[in-house]
Amino acid sequence: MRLHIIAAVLALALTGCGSGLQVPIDVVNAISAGAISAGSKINEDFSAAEKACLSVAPDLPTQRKCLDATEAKYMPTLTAFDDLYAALTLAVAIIRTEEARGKAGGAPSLAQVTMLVPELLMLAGRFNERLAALRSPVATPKGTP
Amino acid sequence: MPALLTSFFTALPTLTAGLSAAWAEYNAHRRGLADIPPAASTWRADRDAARAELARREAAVQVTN
Repeated sequence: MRLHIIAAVLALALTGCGSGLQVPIDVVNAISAGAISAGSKINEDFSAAEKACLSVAPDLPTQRKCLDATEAKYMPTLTAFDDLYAALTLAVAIIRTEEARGKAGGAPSLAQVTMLVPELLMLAGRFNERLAALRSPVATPKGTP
Repeated sequence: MPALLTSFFTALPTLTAGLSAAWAEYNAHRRGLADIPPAASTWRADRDAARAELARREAAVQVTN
């Protein structure tokens, strides 16, 4: 009976060691699944809007104004996506390195990847906020066409 | 002391079986790291191309005038 308890405690400790990398893996998987396709779509939308400015606006000053407005509208979301993507690729590189260290018989160092998890969540939150702001219809006062 | 050692070695198979079962269960629930697809962050090139096209049109108008 006593040995069963020891086995259970050791098993829990073993699972605890593994979850050190599992949490960042879950975070990266969860964020990258949706954010990357959304970010790529925003890039496509921006490109289409810029082309529309040049093809639809009647004169050069209007085209310039249109480009300025389009960039001001999309830039916060685009830069937030670039920041998030850079952090995701960094997290993947660190996790792969620590997995390789574990396979080589060493103990994975969790310090870097643990520090990166809050950063990833913050950047994902910022991207989601800006994406939502970009997609939400602008409130116009009553009577405004 | 000898009794304790005997007890330990008697129960050793149970201990190792318990550990290997826990390890197998852990691995079954573990999810691997998915590859990050390459992101198409093309906005800088698109912005620069649009600005260059606008500058070209403005230059053409100045030459005409």
